[in-house]
Formats: sequence, C-alpha cells, structure tokens
Amino acid sequence: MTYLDYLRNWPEQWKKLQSLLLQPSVDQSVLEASLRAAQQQLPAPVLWLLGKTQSGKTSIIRALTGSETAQIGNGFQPCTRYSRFYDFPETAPIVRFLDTRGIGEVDYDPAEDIDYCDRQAHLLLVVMKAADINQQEIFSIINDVRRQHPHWPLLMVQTSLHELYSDAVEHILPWPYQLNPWPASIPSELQRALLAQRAAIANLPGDAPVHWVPVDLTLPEDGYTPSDYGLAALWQAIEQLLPLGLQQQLSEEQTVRDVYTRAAHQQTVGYAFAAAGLGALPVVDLVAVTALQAKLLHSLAVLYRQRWDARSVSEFVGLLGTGAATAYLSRMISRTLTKLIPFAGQTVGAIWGASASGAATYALGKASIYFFEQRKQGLNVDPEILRRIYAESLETGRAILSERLRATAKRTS
Amino acid sequence: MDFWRKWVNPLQLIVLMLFLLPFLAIFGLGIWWLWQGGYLLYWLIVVAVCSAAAYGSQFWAARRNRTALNELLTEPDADWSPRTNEIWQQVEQLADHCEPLDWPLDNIDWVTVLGKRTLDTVARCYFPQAERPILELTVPHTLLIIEQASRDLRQDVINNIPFSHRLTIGDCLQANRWKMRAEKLYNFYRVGRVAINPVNALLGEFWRYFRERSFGLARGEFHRWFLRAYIRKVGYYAIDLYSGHPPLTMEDATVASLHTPVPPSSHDLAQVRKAQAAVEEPLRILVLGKSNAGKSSLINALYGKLFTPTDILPGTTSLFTPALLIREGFTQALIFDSPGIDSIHFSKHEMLQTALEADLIIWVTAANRSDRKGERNMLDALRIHQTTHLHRRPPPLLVAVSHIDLLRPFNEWYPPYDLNDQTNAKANNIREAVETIATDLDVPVTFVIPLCLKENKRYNVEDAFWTTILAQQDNALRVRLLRCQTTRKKSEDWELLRKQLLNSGRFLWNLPDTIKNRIAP
Repeated sequence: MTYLDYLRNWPEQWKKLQSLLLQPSVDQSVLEASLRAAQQQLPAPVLWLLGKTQSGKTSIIRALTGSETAQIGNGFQPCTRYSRFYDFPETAPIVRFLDTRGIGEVDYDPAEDIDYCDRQAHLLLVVMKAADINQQEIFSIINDVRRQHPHWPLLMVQTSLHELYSDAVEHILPWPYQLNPWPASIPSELQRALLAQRAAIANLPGDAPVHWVPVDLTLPEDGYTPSDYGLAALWQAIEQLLPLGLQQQLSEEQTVRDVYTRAAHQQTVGYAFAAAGLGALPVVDLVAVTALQAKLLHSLAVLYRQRWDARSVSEFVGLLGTGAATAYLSRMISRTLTKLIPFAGQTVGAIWGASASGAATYALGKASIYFFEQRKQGLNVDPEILRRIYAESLETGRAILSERLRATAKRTS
Repeated sequence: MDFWRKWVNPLQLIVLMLFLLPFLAIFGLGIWWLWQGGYLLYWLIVVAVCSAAAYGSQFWAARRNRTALNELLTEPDADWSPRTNEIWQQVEQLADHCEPLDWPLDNIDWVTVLGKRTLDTVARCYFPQAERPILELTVPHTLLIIEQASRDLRQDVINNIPFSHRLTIGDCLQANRWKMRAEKLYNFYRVGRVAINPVNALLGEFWRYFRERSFGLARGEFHRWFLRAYIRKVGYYAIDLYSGHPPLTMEDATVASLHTPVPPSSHDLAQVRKAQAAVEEPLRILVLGKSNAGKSSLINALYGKLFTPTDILPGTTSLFTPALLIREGFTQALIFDSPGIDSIHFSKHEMLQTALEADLIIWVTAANRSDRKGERNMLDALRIHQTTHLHRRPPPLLVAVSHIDLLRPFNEWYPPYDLNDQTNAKANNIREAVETIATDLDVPVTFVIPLCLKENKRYNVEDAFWTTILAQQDNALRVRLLRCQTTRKKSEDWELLRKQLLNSGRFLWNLPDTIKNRIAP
C-alpha cells in the first residue's frame, strides 16, 4: 500500500479510525498484523538463557519481570519442554527470553540460537547452580559461541547459593560478592564451588568481558529473605552489558509498587514499543497504530477489572480533552508529511515518527492507568491531572523510547 | 530393726496377714479335727511315708545326676606312661578332696587359686628338685593350660546344665542375695509359728529338715562336680604339656586323633565347610550415581563412620576402590565407592564388571537435579549387560534419593515427613520427586527411598533405607547384611519396623494412579 493509495482511501480509513477509537473491541487480524509489523521493525531485545534444566532460569525470568505468572520449576521436573521464547509482556513484548531446553539430554547444537540472536540486540545469560560443579556441556557450548563471536559479552549467573550454606539458614547481608577478596563470612564450600566454576572457563576464547553474578532467587515461602538475593547486582550487570534501559522499562521506578501498577507499566511500555515500530515505517498506517492503542486501553481495563465500553471510551476521550486529541492528530499528520521529504526526511521522519507514535501511545496508556485506578477506587477523575499526566508522559515516553531507538538505529546502520 | 524398716512395710504385713489368716486357721482347724476324730496318728504316718518317698526320689535323682556328671569328668589318656598315671592319681586326689564350701562360686578367685594349686601339684612331680616348681612354666603355657581347661569346661556346662547359657554370674549373685533375705524372713515366721501353733510348727520343722537336705544335696553336688572337673581339666592339660607335647599344635592333635571322621563323613564335612566359607565371603555393595549425588556421604551414613572422603568439588573418588568394613565378630562388607558416572575417571566397562560381582547395587540420585537422562542411559546399559549374563541373578537395585532437604520450601527442614500428607508442601515435593525419579529411572517406587545425608540432618538412612535393603535380600544375604551392622534392630524386628515406617509415610508403597497413567501411553 503506497502512501497515495492510503490518501485515496482516506474516507474509508477515517471511518475505521473512528470506530477503532470509539469502540472497545479490536479487530484481531488487524492487531496481529500490526504487532507482527512492529516486531519486525523494532524487535524486542533477547535475553538468551543458557543452562541445565532447573538451574534457575525461570526464577531469573520471574525476578527480572516481577511477573508471578512465569511458571516456576519446582526443582525436580523439567518445566521447559522445548526450546522456546518467553515474550514479556505477552502480546507486545519489551523483552524476549530465549530458553534452551534439555541441555545434557539431547545433543544440543547452538548454531540456530546463535544465528537467531545475531539478528537483534541480545545478551547471553549462562545460568548454573553453584552446587552443580559439573558444567562441561554448558562450557563447551559457550566455547563454541565465543569462537564464532569473540565480542559477545557473557553474563554468568550462579544460582541456588543456599544449597551450599553449611549451617546458616540466612543469606549473608548485604550481598558481599562485589568485594575483593570475598569476606570470610561466605562458607568455604560455597566459595570453592563458585571459584571452581569460574576457573573452569578461564581460557574461554574471545575478548569481551565475562561477568559473574552469584544470586539466590527463591519464592517467599522458601523462607529466605530477601527472596531476590543479588537481583540488584544482576540488573546492574545486565544494564552494563546491554544498555537499553530494560530495568526502567520493566519496573518504572526503583521503589516497590503494587502488582497492578507494575504490570500496567510493562503493558504500556510494550505497546509503546510496538507503536514506535509501526511509526518507523515509511508509510504510517494510522489504523494499525490506533488498533494498538485501542488494544492497550482494552488490556489495561481488563487488568484493572473495569468495564470498557463505548460509554467509557467517550468519557475517557472527553476528559482527555480536545486539546490532547488535536495535538494527537496534528502529530500524526505532520509526521506523515515529514516522511514525504526525500532522503533526510525519510530518516528523520522515521525516528521522529517512531518516537512520536510510541510516545503518544505511552502517554495514552499512562493517562488511562490514572483513569482506571481512580475508577477502581471509586474516586472522581480529575481532568486536570489526567491531562498533566498525559503531557508529562509524552516526554518520559520519548526519553524511554529514544534510548532504545538509538540502539536499534546503530545496529541497523 | 533396720532390716524391718528397710524391707517390710508394717501396713503391708498386716494386709498380708489378714489375707493369710483364714487359710492358716484352716490348717490348724484341720489338725484339731484330725485330733478330735482320732485320725492324727494315721495322718502323721501318711506324712512320714510321703516324705520318705520324696526324699528317696530326690536322693536317687541326685545320684543319677552325679553319675551323669562323673561320666563327663576328664579321664586319663590311655597312652600315658605309668609314671604319668601316678601324677594323674595325685590330681584326682586333689579333686576329690576339694570341698565346695571352701570355694564359693560367686567369688571368681577360685579359678586362679585352684588352677595354681593343680599346676603346683603337677609341677612338683615333674620338677621335684626345684624349689618353686611352678616357676618352671612359661607364662604363655600357664595361660594356655587355663584357657584350654576353661574352654572344655564351658562346653560341658553349656551342653549339660539346663539354662546355663541364660544364667549370668550376676543372676547367681542376685539369687543368692534374695535367698538370704528370704531365709531371714522365714526365720521370723518360724519363731512366730511356734508360739501360735506348736504342733504345726513341729511338723513344719521336721519337714523342712528333709527338704533342705535333698535340695542342698543337688546344689552341692553340682558345685562339687564343677570344682572337680576344673581341677582335673587343668591337671590333664598340665600333664599333657609337661610330658612334652608341643603346646601350639595341641588343639589340632586332639581334634585329629580323637575325632577323625570316617571317609564318607569327611567328604560331607568338607562340603559343609566349603558352604560355610562361602557364607563368610564378604558382602559386596556397589554404590553408583552422578558426581556430587552423595555416594560417599551415603556410605559414611550407612556405616556411621567416616571412611570415604566427601567434597563439593568432584574427583575425590577416582576408581572403583573397595572400602573394607570389618567389625569384630561381624561379616565383612566390601563397599565399592565409584566415581560419578559423568566424571572423567568413570569407566563404563569397569562399572559393568564390578556390577556383575555385586550383591547389592545402590544408585544415588539427587532430588534437586532433574537431568537424569544420562543416569537412565547408564542404568539401561547396566540392565542389558546383566541380561547377557544369565548365570548370575541380577542383584537388587535400590535408589537413594539424596538432598531432599534442598527441595522447596528451601529453608524448611522439620523431619519426619509423612509422604501421604497432602497438606505439607515439603512432603508433597518429596513425594513428587520420589515418584518422578521412579519413573525417570524405571524403578519400582518402593525401592526409591528419600534421604538426607548431611551429617547433622541425617534422615531415613538407618531405618527406612536399611529395612528396604533387608527386604530385598534373600535369607542368606540378609543374615550377612544384618551381621555387618552393629547396633541395628534385632533381626526379627526389621520387618515390623519396615511396615511401621511405610505406614508412617517415610517412603512410598505405590505409585499414584496419575503417574501410572503417565507411563502407560
């Protein structure tokens, strides 16, 4: 569909846009096509988790995303049945976890996974239990990886530290593994096991750094506090090796917030990235972007258990005010026009368009979160606050997106 | 009066008297009635006849005992020279003149004193010119003589005195003390009785005299025999030694010369001895599993002492090194600790060979590691190898599930866990792990025992695991296994214990239906 075609059909498109904005239901096929296009344009970074079954991969996913839905292996049955993706959030992912299954059971050939990761931003996380000394299979795989890609950094995560606590039943606080040398309070068996794993790959090919982070990510009912022992260090290492602002995207602020807010934030960021992906296309499909935004609002309504029908939609749009609506439309149009400028306009327009549609989606999501939160608590929605949140979120959204877009642009250029 | 206060509660005495009074009265009344009816004389005659008959029988029985015991007395060797026979006469004389009253059995000194006196007698005959002839004997020889004599005497006592194997010296002493106490009380009774009922008392005293005579006779008889037998034994061996027999082959010589069996019996005997020797073969236990699964810890836990090194870093066990478990008086066990099946030291060929010779295979697997594909492959290879050796019955294979303390919830450990308890998260996880392992390794779930092997958290090893091992053995092996253990439950108790442990859910009896269905398709 060329731009001219698009303009020629504009009355029809406009009708679609109207119905999308005002109707709560979203056409599934339109949405899927939009998401696929967005994913292609702006793929989510991949965290490749490499480790034996039950080495603690799922616990890492759960700790990083804060999602309680991530199925946790119970320590004895492989819960990963095949080499699979775990997209988070599910429909419009911020991050994609690549989970390799059955290492040590089948003859695993990493070539395919290497190839897959090569095409997008990624980080290889090697996960191993501290007490499981025999890691020959894993080490030979990362040897292969580094022989092909000497510049790929490695993040080695040593898990389940408590298995080697001799008599202690508590973690050593604060997390002492950044100290050099390690303090004597770390049990000697644990120290030796950790160092033995490190020594085993001392002669790894390649030049990129290898980071080691000992963590113990448990469930609250396991009786260890904190249950995310070493998570801060893990995040720090991830941000250092893969500077995409993932932590901010997944948890917004450092402070602990309730599950709803965190999930809503993740959903919003995910859809904002998808919208940004669509916005980067030479021809912005307004319908597609709007479909994403409508879907986002719909998902958030479900999350907050709020009714989302034509009345709610018009109430929300009405409160947001005509100012926001006009600004929204003018942005869309001006962005489309910029792209008509040959060469420079194409690139600048692409980035601007991407960040614009992404930021707009982000702002829309954030405003609706306030809207739903107030309604859930049975409070009135203050239009002033709603508009202010929208305006502020446009800026923060742009900031969040630009980091990611720049990384992608660098990658593709 | 101390005695009264210590042993008799006056109130209790009154109660006892009240109980007995009517019956004692009947006795007195009976006598009175006899006297009134003029039957007293007849009754006295009956009493006298009965007592005489009883005394006669008792005397006769004692005599028979004495003859039987005397037959056991050591006789002089027919090959001895006349001079030696003379010395033997002296020993017999010493034995015959030994008075039981001088040598109370509860004082163990008589063993040495009497033994020394006998030796002295014999030595004096052989070395008449020596000032102290007993000094001519070397210490080992003296000890050897007493040892031989005591051993023979022990055999005789065990074979001929009923219940002697149950009787301890402590029992004897205890019985003696009680007897003295009872006699004291009885004396009081006797004095009282005379005052109350003189006629009755007179009869009682009369009767008592006979009774004491007859029983005292039997006891004194045994005592006398015992001392005589001892002196004669010591004398016999002393003479044997002094007359120039090489002491160290003495045993063999007597066995060979006196008990040489006829040829067919000797063949059978050889067969029996061979079979016995086979039973005394050490028990061979092979422990297999992955590195750090806890093989060495299991061995240390099973035998309650540290004899194989354990460490978090693998490689502490490099070969199929047998550790020999020996305990005094128990069957030996050879325990083959092995390198982990995933270790570079591991040799499959060696494992299969060792497994063929094993009486029991213990497979150790960690509850918190689910990658059991390699273990299953190795296990299948072992099974195939066993089927190719039809002449050997495959030994039972038990699976020890270690590290159950590391299952979720991680920081909880409050054993014992009832695996049938659906409400306990830890018990649920242990059960699921056991069931999964039974399926993964294709082993009946009864043979899969959850364990904790940490030194301060040991659980299920000595009871559940051990009884499961025993349940899988046939009788001969089971006996040997039981003998490998020191302070375990008695052999007849382990089956009961196993049932109790099963019922309390310490290990599983059946796979639940869900798992069975999972295997079926």
